[in-house]
Amino acid sequence: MSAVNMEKPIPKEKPSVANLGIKLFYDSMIAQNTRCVQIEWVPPIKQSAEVEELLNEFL
Amino acid sequence: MKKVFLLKNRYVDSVTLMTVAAEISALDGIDGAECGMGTKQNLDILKELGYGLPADVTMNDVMIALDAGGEAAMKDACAYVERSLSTGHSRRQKVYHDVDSIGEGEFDILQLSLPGEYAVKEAYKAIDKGIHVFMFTADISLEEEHDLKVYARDHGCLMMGPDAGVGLLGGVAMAAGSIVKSGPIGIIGASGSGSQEVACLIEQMGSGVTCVLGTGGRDLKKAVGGVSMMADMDRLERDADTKLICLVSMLADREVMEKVLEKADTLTKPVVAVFLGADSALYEGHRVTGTYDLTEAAKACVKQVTGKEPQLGMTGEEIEALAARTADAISPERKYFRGLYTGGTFAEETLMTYREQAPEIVMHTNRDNTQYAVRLKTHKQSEGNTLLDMGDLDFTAEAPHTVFDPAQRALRFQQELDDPQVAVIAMDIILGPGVAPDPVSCYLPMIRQHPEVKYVFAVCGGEGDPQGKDKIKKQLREAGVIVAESDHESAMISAAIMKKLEARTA
Repeated sequence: MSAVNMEKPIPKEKPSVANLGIKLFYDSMIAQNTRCVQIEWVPPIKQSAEVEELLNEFL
Repeated sequence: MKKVFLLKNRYVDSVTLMTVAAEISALDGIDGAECGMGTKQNLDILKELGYGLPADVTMNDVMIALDAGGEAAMKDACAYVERSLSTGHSRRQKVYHDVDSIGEGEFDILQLSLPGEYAVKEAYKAIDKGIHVFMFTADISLEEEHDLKVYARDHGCLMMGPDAGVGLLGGVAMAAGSIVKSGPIGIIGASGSGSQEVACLIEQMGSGVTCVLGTGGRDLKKAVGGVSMMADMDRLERDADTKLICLVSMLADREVMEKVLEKADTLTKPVVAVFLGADSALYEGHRVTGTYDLTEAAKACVKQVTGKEPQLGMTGEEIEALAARTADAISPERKYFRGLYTGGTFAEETLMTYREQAPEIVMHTNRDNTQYAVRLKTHKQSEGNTLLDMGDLDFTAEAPHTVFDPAQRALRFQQELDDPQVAVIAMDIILGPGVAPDPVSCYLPMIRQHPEVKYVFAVCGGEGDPQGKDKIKKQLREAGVIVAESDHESAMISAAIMKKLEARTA
């Protein structure tokens, strides 16, 4: 399928928005009466190099 | 007493946390406050400030460090933080934790501003779900940016950014953009404040826009190759509502700009282009209407869609007369210009205008990669004539961006007023639903207190912006500020004043 055929159109009406990051931007969407959710994201846990090495050894 | 409170397993962006910290610092009983994620860097800062750290803190926790007179003030401050960070979810609403938890067709756009190391992965996931991506995040390599943009284009999605500051889709302003009336002009911009200015001036001259597609400021760099700008041109060529396409950028890689103009040659719709700082040779041989500043670009767009010559701002004679009156009212010991800008394109357009109109004036700046000024020794101290880009990392690493919270610029404004040699202060005021709700009140008492300094401001905003463009302009004019109709006019006015002061001291 070509890119044109599968192209998602530019929104002509108020778009629905998922906001991931700066909360001010979520507040702005709500103030503009746009459907918006704030994604409750937390950074993935980073393993130290030492732990990673041990895991690699055992798994 | 000093104490650190934790919101466990919660991510909040640094802009919000810096803003909240500034707000709680002003509460009764609070002597100092810091908010940040539990990163090593933030832990080191708190240790240095004398805070004891909770044993269970991890980088996935929000830290609220309070220096307060008592427990009650601390409790109030913590409650304030919780209220400020609340997104108003009710228990019955679905909670999303990442892009994986979004169902097919649930959302049109992912507005993304996570740190770069996490943002790219989430952007790819969104594209796989057929969701357009608007990415405010800037700390991504040019190679990653190129690959992400090609992937989005080939999967039929818009990739706005990385480093996209403004956008307008379906009448909704993204990030720091403005709400502008709809009309026949489609804007594609590799310059946030530049695109916003062109859109707002188009509205001011009686027309409107179908959309503002921000490509991010690095789209026309060699390594990215203008992928988004060219994909967006194809889209707007097919868009029935768009009758004219306007391209906005600062000066970029010559080959990429040529490629973009060659692409424009293949379209059937008229195209107006502004590449700030470009020479006429760039546009020669192409069918685009080439323009040289943002105001001229907006005027060319409106003229082509309405068939009438649009009117905006003062004539050259009116600017000269205003400059002469203003310069006469400035005492001889005051001789320097200070520009405090938040929009990078406004800073560049002003520097460019000074070079054209008043080349005898040596300007200092903290901006990188500008051909129009001398580099400041430090951004903390102005030298002679200085124009600061306060949206630069020099300033945003220390405090929230002035466009979101004017406190940092207000402090610098006072610093400039303390210099007895300052004659003129110029600033841009940017409006929009995602930026500071009250961007000017903090300056008004200082302006009234110092009528010996002259002020030249430009207000960039749409009629739909919540701050009220006319109200803001009126407040400024009543305080004695010269309010220009555009950034370019503001630069023309202040350059004309400074030219007269320079001639006086020469």
